[in-house]
Amino acid sequence: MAGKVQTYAFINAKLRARISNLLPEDFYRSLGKAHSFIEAMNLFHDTPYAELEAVYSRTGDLKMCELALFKREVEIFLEVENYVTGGPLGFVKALTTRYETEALKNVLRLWFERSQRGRNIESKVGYLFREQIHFQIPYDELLNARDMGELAEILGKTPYADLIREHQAEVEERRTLFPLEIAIDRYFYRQLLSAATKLERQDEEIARRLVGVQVDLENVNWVVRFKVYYELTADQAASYLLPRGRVLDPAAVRNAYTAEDPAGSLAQILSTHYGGASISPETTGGQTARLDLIEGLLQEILAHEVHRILGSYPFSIGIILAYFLLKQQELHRIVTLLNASYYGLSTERMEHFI
Amino acid sequence: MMFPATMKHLAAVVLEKDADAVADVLLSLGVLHFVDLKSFATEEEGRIEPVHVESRQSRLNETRRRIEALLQLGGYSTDQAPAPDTRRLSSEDIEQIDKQLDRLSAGLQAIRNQQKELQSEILRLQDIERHLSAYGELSSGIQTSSRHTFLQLRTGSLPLQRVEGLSQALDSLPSVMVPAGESEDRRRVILLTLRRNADEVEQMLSRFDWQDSSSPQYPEDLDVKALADVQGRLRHLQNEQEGKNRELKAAVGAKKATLLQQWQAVRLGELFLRVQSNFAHTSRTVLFTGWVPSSRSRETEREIKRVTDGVCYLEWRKAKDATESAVKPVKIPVELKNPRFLKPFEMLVTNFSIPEYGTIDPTPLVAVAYLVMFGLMFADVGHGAVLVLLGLFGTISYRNRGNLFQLSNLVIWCGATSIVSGALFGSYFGMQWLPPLWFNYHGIVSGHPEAGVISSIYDILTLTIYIGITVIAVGMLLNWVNLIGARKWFRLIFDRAGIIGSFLYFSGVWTATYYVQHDYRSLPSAGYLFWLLGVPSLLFLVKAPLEEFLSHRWSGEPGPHPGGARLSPGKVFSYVMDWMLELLEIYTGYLANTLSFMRVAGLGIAHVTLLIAFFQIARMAGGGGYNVISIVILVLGNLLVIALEGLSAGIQSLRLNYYEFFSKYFAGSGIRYNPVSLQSRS
Repeated sequence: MAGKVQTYAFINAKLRARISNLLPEDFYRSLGKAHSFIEAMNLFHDTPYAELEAVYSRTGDLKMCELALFKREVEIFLEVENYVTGGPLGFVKALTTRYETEALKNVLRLWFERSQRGRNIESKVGYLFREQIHFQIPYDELLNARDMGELAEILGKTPYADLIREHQAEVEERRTLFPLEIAIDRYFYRQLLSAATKLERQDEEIARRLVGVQVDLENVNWVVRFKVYYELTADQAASYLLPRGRVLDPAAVRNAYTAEDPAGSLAQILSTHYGGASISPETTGGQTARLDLIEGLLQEILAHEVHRILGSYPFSIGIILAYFLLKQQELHRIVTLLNASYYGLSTERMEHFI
Repeated sequence: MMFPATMKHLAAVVLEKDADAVADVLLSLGVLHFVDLKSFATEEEGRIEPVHVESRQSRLNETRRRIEALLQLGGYSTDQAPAPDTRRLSSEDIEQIDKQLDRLSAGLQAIRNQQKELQSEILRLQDIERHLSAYGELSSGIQTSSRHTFLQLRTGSLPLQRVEGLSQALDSLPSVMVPAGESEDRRRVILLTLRRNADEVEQMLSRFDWQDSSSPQYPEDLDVKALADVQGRLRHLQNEQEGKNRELKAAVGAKKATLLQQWQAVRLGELFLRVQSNFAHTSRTVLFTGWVPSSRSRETEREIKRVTDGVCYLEWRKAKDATESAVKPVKIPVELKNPRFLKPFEMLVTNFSIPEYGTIDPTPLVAVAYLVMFGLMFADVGHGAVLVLLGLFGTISYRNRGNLFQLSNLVIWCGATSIVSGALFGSYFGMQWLPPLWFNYHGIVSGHPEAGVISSIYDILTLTIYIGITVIAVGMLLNWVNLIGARKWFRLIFDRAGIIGSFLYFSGVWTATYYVQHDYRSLPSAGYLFWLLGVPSLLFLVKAPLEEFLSHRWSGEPGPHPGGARLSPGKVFSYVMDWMLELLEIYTGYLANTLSFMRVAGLGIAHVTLLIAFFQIARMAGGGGYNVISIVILVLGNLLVIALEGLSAGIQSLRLNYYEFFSKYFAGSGIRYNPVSLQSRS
C-alpha cells in the first residue's frame, strides 16, 4: 500500500488538478452554436487552449491548429512519463506510443499518395508531426522512399520495419495501405497489453478493463468499414480485428458480421453485458447510423468506466489512464467541432458531436 | 457601516399596459432585489402566470456574446461602451444587428482565409529551408545516390519571357530559383527542388522550354544565396501574414463604435428582460415583489407612481413583518455599506459568507484585527514598502477586475501596516537603521534584549495572547449584540459565546493569569474557583432540559413526558452527556482559540530569524564583512522572506479571523443584495 501511495501520490494530485481544468460541457454547446468559424476560434481565448486561438490568429489555418493540438497532447503525455517509474512507466510509454503510430501512419499515407497514386502532397507535408516520441523516425526519408522495401530499411531500428515487411505484398497487391494501418494499430494494442502485464495485479485489472473497452470501440468502428468500404469476407474481417476486447471478442464480431443485421447483433451482445444499455431494433438510419449509435454507447461506457475509476481508490494506474482517455476525448471533440464549424455543418448536425 | 442597510419589502400591482414603463423605471433606479412571487402567494396563486422571456433573453444573450467575441478579436473590451440609451431594441433591430454581425464575420473570415493561403506558401518554403540548412554547401552539386538526399539541383536556361511563368508555376512546390546570368534571349537559372517532386518538376520545365546545361557549374556561395532567397521570401510572407492580422483588427476597429453601441443596447435589452422575468401577470395586471433599501423606498414609490399615473397598488412592509407572513422561507438580502477604503476587508468577510440580515457587519473590526495581526507577523519597513509598491502595481494592472483589484488594495494596506510595525520594532530590510519606537524585536530574538515592558520572547508571546483575548472578547460582544437584536434571549444566556459562556471564559483567563502571576505554583482559592468556574459550568447542565421544555411550551405541544412520567434515566443520561461534551468543547475550545494567537508571535519570530540567518550567511560569504556576493544574498534573502512570510502572515491572519473571531458571533447565512440595475453583469 505504501508503495502504491509513493508511486502514484504525486501524479494523482497533478492529474486530478488537470482533470478539474477540462473544458465544461457548456463550452462545447457554445462552440456548436458559434455563428462562424472565426467566432468559434475566439471562444478559446479565455481557456487553457488560448494557444489555439493564437495560432489561428497568426496563420488563419485550421490544420496548423490541429497540429498545435497534437503537439500539445504529445507534450502533456510525455511529461507524465517523468512522474512515474518501473511498471507504470513502461505502461505510460506504451500509451504514448499511440502518438508515434499516428504520426507514422500520417507520413505513410502521404508517401502512398505520392509514390503509389502520383498525387501532389505538398499541401499536406507542412502539417506532419516531426518530433521524436520514442523512436527516431526520419520523416523526410520516408516521404522520399521509392518503395516499401526502402520504407522498411529506413525504419530498420524500429519495430515498424517488420510490420512493413510482413504486409508489403498485401499492400502492393490490394493497392491500399489499410492492412498496414491495421497492423500498426494491432501492434500498439499488443505492446500496451504486454506492458499491462508488468503492472501489479490490481493495476493490471484496471488497465485491461479500460483498454478492453477501447479495443471494442475500435473494432466496432472498423466493422462498418470492413463491410461497406472494403467488402472483406468474415474471416478477413476477423483477422484484422484487435484482440482482447472487453465484450466484443473476434468470434462475436465475426458472427455479427455475417448476420443480416450486424448492428442489432452487436447491440444484443452489449446489452447482455451491460444490462440496461440497449439500442432499439426500431432505430432507423441503416447499419451505419446504428453502428454510430453503438459507438456512442461504447463511448458512454468508457466514460462511465473512467468516472468509476476517478471515484475509487486514487493510487492506481487508473488515474493515468483516466486522464489519458479524458484528455483524448476532449481533444477529439475540439477537433471534430472545429472541423464541423469550418465546413459549415448545421447546428443540428453538430449536436451529434456535442 | 456596522449594520447592513435596513430593507423594506415591496409588493406591487400595476396595469399590464404600464409593465414596460415600470420595468424601465425599475432598471433605471436599480434598487429592487426581486423575490419569487410564490414565496408570498396566497389563494390567488392559481390565477398568476409568470412572464416568459426565456427565448428572447437567449437571443439577446447570444447576440451580446457575438459582439463581445468580435470586439475581442480587435483587442477591444466593452469597458469603453457608451452610456446606455434608454431606447429598447425591437425584434427587427436585433435581426438587423445579427445581419451586420454576420457580414462583419464573413469579412473577417475572408481575411483569415487569405492568411491561410499565405501559410501554405510559408510551409512550402519552410520545408525547403529546412533541407537547405541541413544540406550545407552546394557548390559541388548534390549526391543523388544517397537516401539522405532530399534536394535536387539543376542548372539550365529558359527564354527570358518564360522565366516569370516558371517562377509562378513553381510556387506550388518547395523550390528556389537562383539566377545565374543571361545570354542572348535566355536566362541561366540554378533550380533547387525536392527530390520527391522530380517528376512534377520535369513536366513543368518541359512546358517552359527548359534546357539543362551540359556542364553545370555552381557558385561557391550557392547555398548561401539559395538560403537567403528562401528566408527573404519567408520573411516577406510572414510580414504579409502579420499585415493581414492587422487588417483584421483594423476592420474590427472601423466598426468599434457601432459594435459598442450595439453591445450596450443588447445588454440593456437583456437587463430589461431580466426585470420582466420577475414579473407575474393576471389577465390585466402585472405583479412583482422584492426588497428595497429603506432609504430608497420613497424614491421608488414616487417613480412607479409617476410612470403609472398613480394607477398602481404598492404595499410596503417592514422586513420582519414580510418574512413572518411569507408562505415559504424568505431571506432578506444584505447590503453591506462600507466606505471604499474598507472594500478589501469586505471582500475577506464576504469570501467567508454574507452576514445574516440584522446582524453586525464585522468589516471594520476585521480590518483592524487583520492588520494588527499582519503587522505583528510581518514587521519591517522595507518589506512593507515593497508590498505597497506591489499593491500599487496590482491596482493599475487590475483596474477593472473586481477581486484582483481589491486584493491589490489589501496588499497596500498590509504593506502600510508593515511599515508602521517595522518602525515600531526598528526593522528596515532586517537592519536597524533607526531605533525602534516600541521595542527591539530583533534584539529580543537574537538574544540581545533591551530593558522595557517587552524584553523577552515570553513577553512577545504574552502580548499575542492578550491580543487573542481581546479579539475573542470583541467576538463575544458582537455575539451578544446580534442575539439581542434578534431577541434570542435563551441563546444570549446559554450560547457558548453568550453571557454564561463569556463569564466562564473570562473566569478562565483570570484564573490562568493568577496562576502565572504566582509562578505557576498556586491557583485561586476553592471558593473563587467554585463561583467563577464551577457555578457557570453547572449552569450549562440545565441548558438542554430547559431548552427542550421551553421549545415545547412555546410550540404549544404537550410536554416532553406526557402521561405523568417526568424524566427517564435515558433522558437524564443524555442530558448529562450533552453537558459534559459541551463543557469539554468550551474549555478545550476556548483554550485552543486563545493559544492559537501565539502563532502571531511565532511567525513574527520566524520573520526575524530568517533575516538574521540571511545576514549571517551574507557575512560568511563576505569573509566577515560584506562584498558583492553578500549583497546578492541579502537581496535574494529579503525577496524570499517577503514572498514566504508575506504569504504566511496573510493566510494566518485570515485564518485567525475566520476561525477564532468569526466562530464567536458570525451567522453567515445571508444572501447578498443583488438588485437588477444598469450596473448588473448580464
